[in-house]
Amino acid sequence: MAYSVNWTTKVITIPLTDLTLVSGSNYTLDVEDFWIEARRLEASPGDGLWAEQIVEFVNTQTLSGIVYSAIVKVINGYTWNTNTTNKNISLIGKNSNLLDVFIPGDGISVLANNSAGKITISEGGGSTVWSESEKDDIIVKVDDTYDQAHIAARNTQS
Amino acid sequence: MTVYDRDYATPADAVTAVLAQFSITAGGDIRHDTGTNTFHVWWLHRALQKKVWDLATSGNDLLNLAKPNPSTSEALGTIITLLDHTTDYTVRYNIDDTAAESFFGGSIEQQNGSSQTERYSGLIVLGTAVAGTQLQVVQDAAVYTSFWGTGLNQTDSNTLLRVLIKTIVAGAEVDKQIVVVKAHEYGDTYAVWETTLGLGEKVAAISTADDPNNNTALGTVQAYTGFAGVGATVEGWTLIDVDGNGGDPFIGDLSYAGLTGNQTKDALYEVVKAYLVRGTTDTLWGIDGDLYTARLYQLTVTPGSGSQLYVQNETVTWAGGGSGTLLAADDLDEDNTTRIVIHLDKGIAPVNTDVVTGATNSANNTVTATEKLATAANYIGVYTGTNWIAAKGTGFLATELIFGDSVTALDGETPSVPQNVTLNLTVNCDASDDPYCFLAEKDGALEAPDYNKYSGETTGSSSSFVDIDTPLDADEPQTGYVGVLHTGRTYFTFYEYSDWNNTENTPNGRFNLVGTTDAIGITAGDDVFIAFFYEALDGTGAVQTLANSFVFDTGTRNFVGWVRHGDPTIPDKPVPIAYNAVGSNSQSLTVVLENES
Repeated sequence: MAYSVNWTTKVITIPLTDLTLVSGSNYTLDVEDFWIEARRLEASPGDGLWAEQIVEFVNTQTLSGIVYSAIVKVINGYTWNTNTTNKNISLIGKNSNLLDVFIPGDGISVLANNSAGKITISEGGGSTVWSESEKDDIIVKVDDTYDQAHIAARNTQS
Repeated sequence: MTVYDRDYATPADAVTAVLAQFSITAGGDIRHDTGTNTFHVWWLHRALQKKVWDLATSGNDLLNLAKPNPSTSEALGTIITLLDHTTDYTVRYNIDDTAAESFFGGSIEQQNGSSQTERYSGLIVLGTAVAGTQLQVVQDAAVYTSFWGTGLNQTDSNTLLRVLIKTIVAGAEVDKQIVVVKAHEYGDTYAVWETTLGLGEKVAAISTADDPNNNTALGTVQAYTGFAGVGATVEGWTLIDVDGNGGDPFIGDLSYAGLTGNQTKDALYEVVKAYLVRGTTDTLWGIDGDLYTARLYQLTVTPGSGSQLYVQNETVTWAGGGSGTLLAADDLDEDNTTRIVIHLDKGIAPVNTDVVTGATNSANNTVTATEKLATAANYIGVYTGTNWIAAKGTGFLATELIFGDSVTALDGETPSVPQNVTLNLTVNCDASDDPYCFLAEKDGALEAPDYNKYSGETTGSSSSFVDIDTPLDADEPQTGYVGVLHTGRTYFTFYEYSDWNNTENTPNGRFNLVGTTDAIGITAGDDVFIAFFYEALDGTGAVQTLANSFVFDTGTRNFVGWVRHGDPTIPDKPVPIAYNAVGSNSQSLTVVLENES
């Protein structure tokens, strides 16, 4: 079952069958799948060839040896929902703004899982493979950043 | 070589020169002996009179005072008559064709051995021609053998040629003494002039100049692929819809489509000129190019009976010795024929009550009116390098005409070629891509397509047309896609249309569809707009294209849209496109599709 789109209201409906069951009421939505399907719909004469673009895609970026995750950004006022209730949907894969443009549904919880520090590590040989000491350095740095943010948030709440 | 014109300053020298160049027998035969001088016919008369005044003969001029009067002169020495005294003196003064080549400026008439009149008529060609031009004289549907090269007896700067042409042979006029002078030098403009010769000297006027649009070497043009087919592909009476308002009659429709590798107006123009160049063996509409004289006539005829058929390009004849080549007939069945177009080959054009008869099947019709068409010596007309200014009746393939071309149909209509504006799109992409394009007129305020430019009128389901509640703008594309946001649907549905008009739903617009609408009606007020593009790119491979046209009306318009390729395996980054300030000129756009992953 494919996504359906109300092109006049710009609402994309993702059927439950296009979500991946993890366990119980926990599902995942691979952002890449969303991007690919959006591109297909945009370019289809039977669907949205005439309509405004749904998503903007920013590919992976390599900065100082770090490969940053791609971004899928829903634009032009499009929103989305699902045809189910009482599910937890965890967005996996690429960073996105899908959480921002989600239309809340009965019992639907969406977990963004974006990370500003998300990196893509190339497996196998080559100069892009980090040494164990480099990995340790990064883990420490990320932990520090998280701790500082957590502390700051708690201070703000108090 | 000396040219002894009528007003040559020293008459005695002219007479002496004539007598030195010709021999004269006792029986009166005047023949060229030696020399290349040329003489006004007056000096022949004066020389003969001089000899019959002398007491003694001299050299090979065997005349003296004992001989009868050799000649008379009229009209200030321009009409010379050589006298026949066969009965009383066994003397018949006469010249032959070779001797005649040495004279100009008037006519020389004589009797042949059967006492039949023969005449050499004077022809003077005035005007200007490109240096090196070899004039042709067509007489009785044949080229008169030239003895004048690039000109002869040019007694002043405006004279191209002065010669004698034999116009009466054995007592009979050759084609009513009509000749056509032609200047058909490749690379120059062409010219023709018809004149009827007779006594004295008659004038033809010729003017040629360098043709700036005829620069390709003749041999190159003659070697074009499809060269011979241009003039033989679509002949005869052809209805051509130039302006989109129905067909008008023309003589065939010339096209460069068959000139593979040279499909241009330039090539077509030069091909037609090559057909008609001096010395050609090619034909146009069945007429040998050398014999094309641009004398086209449109005959109004009364439908006949007998059901005989005319044959395209056949010879037709009529009373008085006239004949022509049938270039077009509105119906080849004599029962239905009302119009015939001929190229006049011989004689004078048929007139009211003349009966024209086809040579093949004897199909015939009676002429009620004759129109001499305003034609061009090169048949095709003026070519500016961009546009045709065609002679009346000259037809072109409608799709090869562009705004600014001027054509005149056989019915006198001068349909205007629409000013088509074409938007061209070229997409560079992966060879396996199959991208799609959408383009529509831009909204007046938004940076987006004008999705609600028009509003629909109530129409039933599965309709072959879409009606709107206002007239369509004159500059909408002739073909394209009309998008309808049906009430009850959340998306535009697009229908390809084959044409539109404001007459079938007058005064409002109607799109006639290639197919039918879906099984859902159109509700009054449904948004309707035109997609200039709404389709896959044409072709396959790394370069794909798309084009569509509209007829320019006024002002400028903006178009916006995009090219998308949503292949699930390798999607491409969508590319917005825009054609801004589109007025009367076509625009082209090239975009590059890049893989997004």
